[in-house]
Amino acid sequence: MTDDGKGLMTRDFVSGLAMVIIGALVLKIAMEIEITEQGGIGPRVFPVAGGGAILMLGVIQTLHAIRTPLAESDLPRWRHMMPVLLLCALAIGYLFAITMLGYLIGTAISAPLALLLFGVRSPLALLAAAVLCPAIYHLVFFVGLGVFPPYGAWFDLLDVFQGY
Amino acid sequence: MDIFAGIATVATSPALLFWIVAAALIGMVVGAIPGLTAAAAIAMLLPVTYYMDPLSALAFLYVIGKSGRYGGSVAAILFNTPGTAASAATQLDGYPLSRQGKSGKAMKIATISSVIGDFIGDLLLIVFVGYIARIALTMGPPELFAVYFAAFVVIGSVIGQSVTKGLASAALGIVLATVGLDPITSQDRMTLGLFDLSGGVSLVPLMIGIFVLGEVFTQLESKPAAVQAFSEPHDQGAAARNHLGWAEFRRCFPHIVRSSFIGAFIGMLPGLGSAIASFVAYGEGKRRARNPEEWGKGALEGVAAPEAANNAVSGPSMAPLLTLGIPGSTIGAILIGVFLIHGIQIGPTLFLTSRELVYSLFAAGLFGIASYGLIGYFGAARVGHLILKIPTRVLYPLIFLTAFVSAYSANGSLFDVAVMIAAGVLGWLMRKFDFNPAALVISFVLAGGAEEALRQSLRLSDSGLMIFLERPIAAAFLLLGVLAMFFRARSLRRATTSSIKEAS
Repeated sequence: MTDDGKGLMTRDFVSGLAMVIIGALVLKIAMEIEITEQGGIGPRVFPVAGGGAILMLGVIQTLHAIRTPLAESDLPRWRHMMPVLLLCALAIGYLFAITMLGYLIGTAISAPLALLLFGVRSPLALLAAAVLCPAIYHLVFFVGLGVFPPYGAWFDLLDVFQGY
Repeated sequence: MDIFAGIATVATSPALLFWIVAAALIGMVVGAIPGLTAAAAIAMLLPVTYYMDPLSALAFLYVIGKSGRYGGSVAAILFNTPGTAASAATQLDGYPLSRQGKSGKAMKIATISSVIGDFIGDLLLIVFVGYIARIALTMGPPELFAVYFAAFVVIGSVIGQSVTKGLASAALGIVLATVGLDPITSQDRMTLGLFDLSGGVSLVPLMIGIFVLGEVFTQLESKPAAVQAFSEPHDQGAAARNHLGWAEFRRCFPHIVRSSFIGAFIGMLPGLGSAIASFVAYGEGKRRARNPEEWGKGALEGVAAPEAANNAVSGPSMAPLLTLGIPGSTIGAILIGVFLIHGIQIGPTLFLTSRELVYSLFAAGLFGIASYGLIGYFGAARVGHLILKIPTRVLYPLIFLTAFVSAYSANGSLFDVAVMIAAGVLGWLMRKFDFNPAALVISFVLAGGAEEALRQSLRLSDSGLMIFLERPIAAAFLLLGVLAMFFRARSLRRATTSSIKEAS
């Protein structure tokens, strides 16, 4: 990091680097696709073209970011992103909970946690969310629309309700 | 004549009419909530439409899109917060009118302008779409690929503030679309050995992730302040202030008509969309206005022009979608998904195979315009009060939970939920780093057709890639794409240079 701002990590610079890495990865995976069509254009061409374009654009973006440095870094701060990272973790946890414990219990756990992350602190509201959200979503989607519900691998409350 | 049959079909179906009115109301409310877009609502409600007949499903989502464009004006005028990007131009004069105690008048002119603009756009679509389809039918694979190429480049370079990031977003959409079995050789590609990816990345969870979950992440991070309305005085003169007189309407009428045509023209071009149309119309309206000094301070014409253009985009944006399978907007990309889910192949042959459905959909659009027009004219203030009562800290967690069940409902697959989460994180990061999620989704939808057209073209060709230069229409579209990218890059470079000069 220098006084005139050159070499600072900017959003454009990081974006360019990310594009280079993603483009290179796509190219590497695409080059493993076998060319089976003779005399025509094989299944490899579109992925290679896509990956190549991302890589090339990434190089242009990175060079552009190096040539036009900013006075100060404009990268997002970790502490600002923390709530989102927590919500990402909740999303993954919610999926895991549905997979293992079924939709009803998964939603009963995740609904109040999601409300907490958005700033709802009332215990009554959180309790209501834990009861009402799974019930309403279940009734609308799995009963009303007839979607087959995701059953938990370890345990599922629906088994209890349905007497299995 | 087909449109009259379509109108009769819609008018004699009470269930369809119910869905149209419901869509008009939902779209208006969603459009009026800052941060929520009609595209997000459509993506979330898409699984619900699996259980409807194709016309009801398409009409429901199409009208949400139309009404959502109009709904943005409610928040722009009443809360000084544009509900959608397109209504930011409406806010310039709409909110000053509210502060003068004329929110009712502003909402009336916004509603009338939106309705007229939308009707003009739809009428142009109905009259000309058949001709466009006839031209499209004469196109062979090389011309089609050239059109796809131009669409990729235009969508990638025109939307957003960076040509490189926009094009990279479009390229990433292409790469994601190639995941799964190759459609010709049935060869596994880009699946990383995961069996679940053999069927490819599903459109619905991808869209829900990018437009809905991504938006929830963004809202949590930005923690928007609670929406507040300017408390307007309810004195004796309120009714008189808010009465929209004939003289006032006549002053606005030329702006409405001109802006409608501007919006309709921009709507036909892929990727540009309502936001650009409304600002172009606002700029053009101000340039031609007799009272340019009043614009920005509460001129009624300043509300009429962007609102007419914003809504006139809706109909014509369906023309490239229905005739060529090229969505001009994110809503169009979602509608392609609906067509495919119901087993309807879009493209020029759609007008041969499903003519009645297409014209019934246009008729549903006309009914939709009338519905949101009536709801808006008489109930915009009530919708505004409803928005004020919805706490965002409860709304967004509910949207978060709905996104999960919607993504699962698409195919009854928890893998799709995982795709949705990944797409949500991708969409959030893309917004954060100024990439273009809309270009990704539109390219994702286009890529399959483009690849098919390219491969067919090269099979037809004796001279390899030269086939695209030997056919004049194909060459013209390729040139159009390259020129669009060049001019966009040049205009952005000039803008950057001048802003650096100003800063120094």
